[in-house]
Amino acid sequence: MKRPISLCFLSLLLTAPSVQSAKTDRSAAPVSGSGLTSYPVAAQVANRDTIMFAGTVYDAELNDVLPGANIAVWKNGKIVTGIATDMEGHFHLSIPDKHCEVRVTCMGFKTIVLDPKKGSQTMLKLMMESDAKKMSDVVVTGFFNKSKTSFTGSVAQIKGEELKQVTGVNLITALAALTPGLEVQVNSAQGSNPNHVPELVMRGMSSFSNEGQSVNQPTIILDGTEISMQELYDLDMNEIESINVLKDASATALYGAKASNGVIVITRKPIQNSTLHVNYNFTGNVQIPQLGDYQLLSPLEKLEYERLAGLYDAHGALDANKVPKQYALDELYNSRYKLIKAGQKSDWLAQPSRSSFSHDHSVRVYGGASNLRYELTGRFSNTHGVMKDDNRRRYNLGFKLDYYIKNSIQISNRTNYGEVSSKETPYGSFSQYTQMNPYDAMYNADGSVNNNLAWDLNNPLHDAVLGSYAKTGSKTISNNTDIRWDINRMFRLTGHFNVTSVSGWSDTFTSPHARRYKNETDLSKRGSMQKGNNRSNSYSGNIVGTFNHLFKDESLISASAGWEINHSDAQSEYLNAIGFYNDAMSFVGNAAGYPTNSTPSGTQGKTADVGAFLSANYSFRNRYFVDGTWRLTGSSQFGENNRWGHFWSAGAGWNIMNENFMSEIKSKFDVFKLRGSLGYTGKVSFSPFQAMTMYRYANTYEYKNGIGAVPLTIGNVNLAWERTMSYNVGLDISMFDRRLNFVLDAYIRNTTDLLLNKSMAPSTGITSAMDNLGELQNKGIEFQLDGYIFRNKNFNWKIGTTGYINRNKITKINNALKEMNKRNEEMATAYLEPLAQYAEGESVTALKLVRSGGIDPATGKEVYIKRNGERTFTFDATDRVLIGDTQPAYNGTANTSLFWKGFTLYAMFDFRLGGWIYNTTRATKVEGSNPKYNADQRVFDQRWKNVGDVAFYKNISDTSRPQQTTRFAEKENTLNLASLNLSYEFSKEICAKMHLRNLRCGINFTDLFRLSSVKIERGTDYLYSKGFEINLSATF
Amino acid sequence: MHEPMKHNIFHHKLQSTKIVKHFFGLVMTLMMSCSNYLDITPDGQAKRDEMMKTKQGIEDALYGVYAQMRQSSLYGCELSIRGVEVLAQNMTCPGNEDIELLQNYDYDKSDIRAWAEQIWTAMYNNISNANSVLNSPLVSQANTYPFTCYKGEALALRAFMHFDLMRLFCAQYTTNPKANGIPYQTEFSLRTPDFEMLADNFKHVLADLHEAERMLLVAPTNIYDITDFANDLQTHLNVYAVWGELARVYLTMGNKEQALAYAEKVIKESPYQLKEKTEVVNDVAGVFSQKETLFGVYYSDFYSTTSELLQKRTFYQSLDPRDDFMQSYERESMPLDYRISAYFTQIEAGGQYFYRLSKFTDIYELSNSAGSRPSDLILGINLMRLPEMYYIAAECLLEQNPERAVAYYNAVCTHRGLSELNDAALTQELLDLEFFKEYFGEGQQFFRYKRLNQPILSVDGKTLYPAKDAMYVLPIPDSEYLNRY
Repeated sequence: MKRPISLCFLSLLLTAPSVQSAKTDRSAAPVSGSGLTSYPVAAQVANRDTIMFAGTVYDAELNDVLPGANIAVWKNGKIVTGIATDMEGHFHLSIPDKHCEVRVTCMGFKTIVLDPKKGSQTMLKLMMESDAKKMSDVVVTGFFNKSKTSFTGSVAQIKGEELKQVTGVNLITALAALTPGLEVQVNSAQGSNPNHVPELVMRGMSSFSNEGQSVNQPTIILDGTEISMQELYDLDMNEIESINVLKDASATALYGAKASNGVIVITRKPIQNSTLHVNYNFTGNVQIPQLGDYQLLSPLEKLEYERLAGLYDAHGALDANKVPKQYALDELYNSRYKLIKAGQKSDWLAQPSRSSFSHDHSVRVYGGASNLRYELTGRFSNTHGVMKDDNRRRYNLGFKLDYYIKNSIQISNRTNYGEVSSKETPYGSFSQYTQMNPYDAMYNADGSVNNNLAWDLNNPLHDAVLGSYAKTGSKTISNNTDIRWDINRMFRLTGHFNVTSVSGWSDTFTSPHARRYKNETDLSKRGSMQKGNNRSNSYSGNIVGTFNHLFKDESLISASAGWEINHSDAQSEYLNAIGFYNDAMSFVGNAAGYPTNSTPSGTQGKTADVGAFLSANYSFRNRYFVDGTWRLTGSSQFGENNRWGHFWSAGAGWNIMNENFMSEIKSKFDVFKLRGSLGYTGKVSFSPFQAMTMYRYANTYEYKNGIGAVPLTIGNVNLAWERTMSYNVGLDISMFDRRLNFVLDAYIRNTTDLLLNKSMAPSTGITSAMDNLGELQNKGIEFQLDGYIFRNKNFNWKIGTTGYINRNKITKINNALKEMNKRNEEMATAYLEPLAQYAEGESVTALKLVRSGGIDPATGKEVYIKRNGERTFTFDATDRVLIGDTQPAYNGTANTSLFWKGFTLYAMFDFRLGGWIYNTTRATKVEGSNPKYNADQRVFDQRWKNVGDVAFYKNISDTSRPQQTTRFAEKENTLNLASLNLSYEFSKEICAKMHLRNLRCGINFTDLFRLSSVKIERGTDYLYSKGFEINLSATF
Repeated sequence: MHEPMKHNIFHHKLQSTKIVKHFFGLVMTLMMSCSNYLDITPDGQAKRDEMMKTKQGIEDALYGVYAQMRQSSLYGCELSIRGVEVLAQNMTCPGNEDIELLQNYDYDKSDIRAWAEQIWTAMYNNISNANSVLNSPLVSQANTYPFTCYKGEALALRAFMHFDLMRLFCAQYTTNPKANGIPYQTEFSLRTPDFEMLADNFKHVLADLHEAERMLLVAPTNIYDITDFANDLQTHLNVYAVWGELARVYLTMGNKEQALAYAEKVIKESPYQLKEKTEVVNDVAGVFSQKETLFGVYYSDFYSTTSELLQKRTFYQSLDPRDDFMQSYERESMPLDYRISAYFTQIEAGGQYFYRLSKFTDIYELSNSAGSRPSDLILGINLMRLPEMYYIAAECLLEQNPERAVAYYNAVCTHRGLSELNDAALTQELLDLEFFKEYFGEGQQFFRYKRLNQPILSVDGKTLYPAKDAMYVLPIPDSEYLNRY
C-alpha cells in the first residue's frame, strides 16, 4: 500500500523560503485510524503501576496520519524510553510510573506534552500543529532554512509589516532603522533625491573609503537570487513577507566570497491555500522641502556685507579717463540700495523647490487549492521629489504558480516584469540657488529670465527653463523556478533557477541655448545629446540536498550540501551627438554630427562563479549545539593562482533554559541562549583583467596590415579576495511569553588583504596595480531590547530600543597608503572637506585637522597651533592632529507602539551621537565665502571687522578659503523623529458590511522633526524633505 | 508487517546511502566541469596566455606595440615634431607657456616634469608590451620563421625604445662614461627593474639589437609561413632598420668603427637608395619615403596632428619654425636647395607672412582629395631614413679618410640639388648644417647636439645655451624613485 509521505518533514526547519504551510484548520476531524491494533512495540511486562498510552498522531493541517513522530518518556531530564509512530501514525507505549513526562515531537510541529498522572489513555487522537508559520523560529539563509533554536549565528529578522510601520516608501531606510548594525550612509549632498539609491554599510567600513561606498555594501538575496541595491530600492514593500539580515560568519559563510559585508535575505509572501483574494495597497506621499537649514542674508544685509568686504571700495583707483573709479562704484551701491528699499527681494530658494505628491498602487490577486495556487501582482508608483520636474516611476507585473504533486514535490514558478524610469530635475544643483543675491530680480518684467545679474553671475534659472533633460530607465524581466522534493523523512532536494534580463537606457540632452554654449559660434556644435544603452543577462541556479534526523531525546542532526552556479554578462554603450538647432528637437536623428575626437565607448563585464558547500548542525537534547559550514567558491574574477577559495565557519551554542538548574524558573523563559561563532569569509571587488593579463583590441590600435591589441594592465596573478575573519558572541533572551525580548551581540571583524591600488614605478610598465595590502579591524556591540508594558486582546503598549557601537581601526598601513596620504595632502586645497590621512591605529574615517588658536583680535587672522604647542600664523598641514571619527560613536533608535481596539500608534526616533563633522557651511558660506555670492547669516554677525574685535571668524574682507583647522570641526549629535504612524484596522463586522475581508488605513509622518547640535546646510545638491504618507490596504 | 518500524528504518538507511551517493556524485561532476566555465573573456579582449599561442595573436600584440609608439607623448608628437624639436630650439610657439618652459630648459617646473613623466611612463608601458611578446613561450624559444621574426622585431623594439629613453634621461655617454643609466626592463611582471649604469644600458641595447639582427636574418623555410605580417617592411623594425639603429647606438657610444660598419651595411646591402632631387617634394608629407625610409610608424591619422600643430597658425598650440632657419638653407648661394620648397610654405595671416613647416602635411588631405592618394603610399611617421646613414658614415670617416667622407656627403647633397664639394674641405660644421637641413622637424636634432656636446642657440638666435647636463638630461620622474618598495 503506498502511503503519502509524511508532511512531518514537509514544513520542517529546512523549508525552502517560498514554501510555507497554509493555515491550520483545527475543526476538521480525523478521517481514518479510529481502531487500535495491538503492536508489540516497546512491550514491557505490565505491572500495576504501568500506565499505557496509545493512539494515533495526526498532522492537524492535512488531517492525515503522521508517521515518524517521536514519543519519548522523560524522567529527571533523561529519556527513559521512546518510540516512533508507524506508517499508520499509531503508537503504543507503556510507562513505568507516573512521575515522568511524555513528549510527542516531530520537526516542524509544536511539541505535545502528555501527563501520565491522569492515568492510561489508549484512544488518543493527537493533532500536531505545524509551527513552521512562525517565521521567527527559522532562519532563512537563502539556500535552506535553519532552526533558530540551534542557530549559532547572528541574525536580525524583520517582518514585512514592521517595515511598513516605519515607512511605506523607502524600504532601505526602514530596513536600516530596524536592524542594529546596519546603517544608511549619510549623503548630505543628495538629500531626499528620489533618484539617488542609498548605500548601506553593515558593521563598519571594511574598505578604504576613497574607493567608493559600494565596496562596503552587503549582498542582497531576493527569494534565492542575488539582486542589486537599486533593485532593492525599487522593490514593492507590499510583496515582502520577511527579511533576514545575516551578520556574522556562521550566518553568512554559505555565501563564501561575497559574504564579508553581510547578507540580506528577502522572502516574498507565500501564496496561501484559499479562495480568490484581492489585496490592494495604496500609499500617497506628501513631501515638503526643508529649507530651514538655510539661513541666508536678507537683501540689505547682503549689500552691507558686500560693502564691508570692500566690493564698493576702489582704493582711489582711476579709470581710463582719469575719473576716480569710486564714482561708478558708489553709483552701483546706491542703485542697489534703492532697489532694496523699493522692496526687491527675490526668493531664489523657492524657485527649484516644490511640495510634492507621490502615489504608489499595488494589487495582489491570489488563491488556489491544495495542489495548485496562483498569484498575480501589479504595481504602479510615481514618485516626485521636492525639486521641480523630477520623478521616478516604477511599473511591475508578476505572476506566480505553485504546483504540488502528492505532498512530496512542489514546483513554483514566478515571472516578473519591472520597469523603472527616472528624470532628474532640470534645475540643477540646489547650491546654485543659495549663492544668488536676493536683491537681483530673477525674471525680467516680460517674464523672461533675467540674465543681467550683479557681479556677472549666471542665472541658474536660464538653463532650467530650457528643454534640457536627463532621463534614465530600465526594464527587467526575470523568471524563478523552485523545485522541492521531499524524498523521504530524512532527505529533501531543492532546486532554484533564475534567469534575468535587464535592458536600460539613459538620455542626457543639453539645449543649444544652454549657457555653456554662450561662446560657441558654430551652430552645428551647440546642444548635445549623450545616449547610453545597457544590457545584462544573467542566470543562476542551485541544488541543495538536506538531511535531518530528530532523535528520540530531541537531539537533532541536520546536514546540507549544495552546489551553486552564477553567470552574468553585462554590456553598455555610449555615444555623443552634437548640434541641435532647436531646443525642442532633441531626437538624436536631428543631430548635426559627432564631437571631434569622440568615439563611441562602452563597457563589458562577464563574470561566472560556481560553488559548493557543506553545512552541518548537531544539537544535543536541545541544550548544546554546534554547527559548521565549509564553502568552496571558484570565480572568474579571481587571479589565476587563486582560482578556488575556501571559506568556513564554526559555531556553538547553549540553550541555558533547557538545563536542569533552570527548571524552577523555566516557565518564565521562552528563550535563553548563549551562542558564539567564528569564521572566515571573503569579498571580491576587482575586475577580471586586474588578476590576469588581458589584451584589448581597439580600432585605435589599427596598423597597416592588421589590428593591434594592447594589454589592459599587467595582471596580478596573485590577486586574491579580501578576507574577513569574524568572531561573534551573542545572547538571546525572551521572557514572559515573549513579552520581553533582548538580543545582544558583540563582534570583532578583522579584514585582511584589502585591495588597494598600489602606485608602481613607471619602469615596471604600469603606474598602478591592484594588490592585497591593507588590514582593518571593526569591533562593536549591538543590542535590541523590546517589551510589552501591557498586553491584552484590546490594548497593548510596546516599547523598544536598538543601538550599536562600532569602532574601526587600521591595523596595518603600507607604502601604498602612505603614498595615497601624500597625494591627498597635495590635493587638499582642491576639496572642501579634509581628505583622508590614514594611520595605523586610527579609523579610516578619522578626521584630522590642524589645531586653531582662534582669530587674532589685532589682525583678524587665524592663529594655528603647531604640534609642539607653538602658535603661528603660517599654516603647515603636517601639524594635523586626530580630532575624532566622522562615524557616530553611537547609533540607536527608540520606538514605541500602542494598540487599542484596532488603532495602532507607532513612533520611532533615531539618534546618532558623537560623530565629528567638518562644517563645510561655515568654511565656505561664513568664512571662505565669496562676497559676490549670498552667504550664511553668520558671515555678518561673527566676523572680525575692527582691530580689537574678539571674533570667531576672520576678517570680513578676507575672501580666501580658510585652512582646514579645528575651528570648523564639530561634534554632531542628532535626534530625528523618523516615523510617526497612526493606523486603524477595521473590525471584521465593519469589513463584512463593506464586502471586504480586511481593511486598514493609516497615516505616517516621516522625518517630522530633527534636532542637531551642528548648524550646517544639508542637501547641497538636492534638498531634504519631510512629510507624511497615507496608507490604505484592503483585501477583497 | 510484524516489525514495521525496523523494516522502515532499514529501508530508509538503504535509500539514504543511495541518495547521498547520488547527490555527491552529481555535485562532484558539476564541480569538475567548472574550471573551463570560469575562464571568461569578454568580446574584444583576449587572455594573454591564449593569444600568445597563435601566430595571429603574437602579430596582433606586435601591431599593438607599433600602434602605441604613435601616442602623442611618444613618436606621434613629442618625440618627433614637437617636444624634442622645441628642445632643439627648432620649433616654437610664442605665448605658449609650456613651450617657453621647455625652451628655457626649466626642468624644475612641475609642468615640464609632468611632460617628461608622460614620455617616461608611456615608453616603459610600451616596452612592457614588447616584453609581453618576448616573454611568451613561442617567442622566447623561437628558432624558426616566423617566430624568429617576431622575436627579432620585439627585441629591436625594446632596444629602440630604451635607447631613446637613454638619449633623453641620461647624460651623454662619451662625455661621461660613468653616467647613471635607467632601468632596463626585460620582464613582463610587476617586479620593478633596478637602475643601472649607462654603460650597462648600452650593453643591453647592443645585446638586444645583435640578437634581433640574428633573428631577423632567419629566412622562411616554407612559403606558407609567410603571412601579411611580412608585407610593408618599412612599418616594421626590419633588419635594415636594426643595422641603422646599431649605427646610431655605436656612434652615440663613440664607437665609430662599428658605427661606420653598420651604416655602410645599410647603404650597400639594403634595397633602399637616395631619392632623386626631383622626388624630394612631398616625399615625407605624412607618408613614408618610398626610397629612403628604413623604419617608420604607420599612422593613418597623422594629418590631424600635423595640420593642427604645423600647418595652421590659428591653433594656440601651433608651432613656428625657428626665426633664422632660412639662413641655413641659403648659406650656399647656389644652386637652390630643393628642400626649401619641399619642407616649407609661406602663409599670409593679417597682412604678415609666416613660414610653416609643411614637410609632413599630407597634401591629399590638405586638398580634400584623400581618395586620390596612390595606394602604395604608406601613411605615417618616418623614424629612420637612409640619409642619416650617409651622414654617420661621413662623420666616422671624416678624420681617417676624408675622401670617402666627402663622397658620402656629396651623395646626399647631389640628391638634394646642391653642388658637390670637390676637395677634402668637408668639416664637422658642414655635416651639422647638412643634417639640420635634412632632418628639420624629425626629432633627431636635439640628440645630435647632445651627442656632440654642442651648445644650442635659442630659437630667436639671441641666447647661446652652453652644453651641460642641466639642459641635456631630462628629469626622471619622482614616481620612479618613490614607488620602489
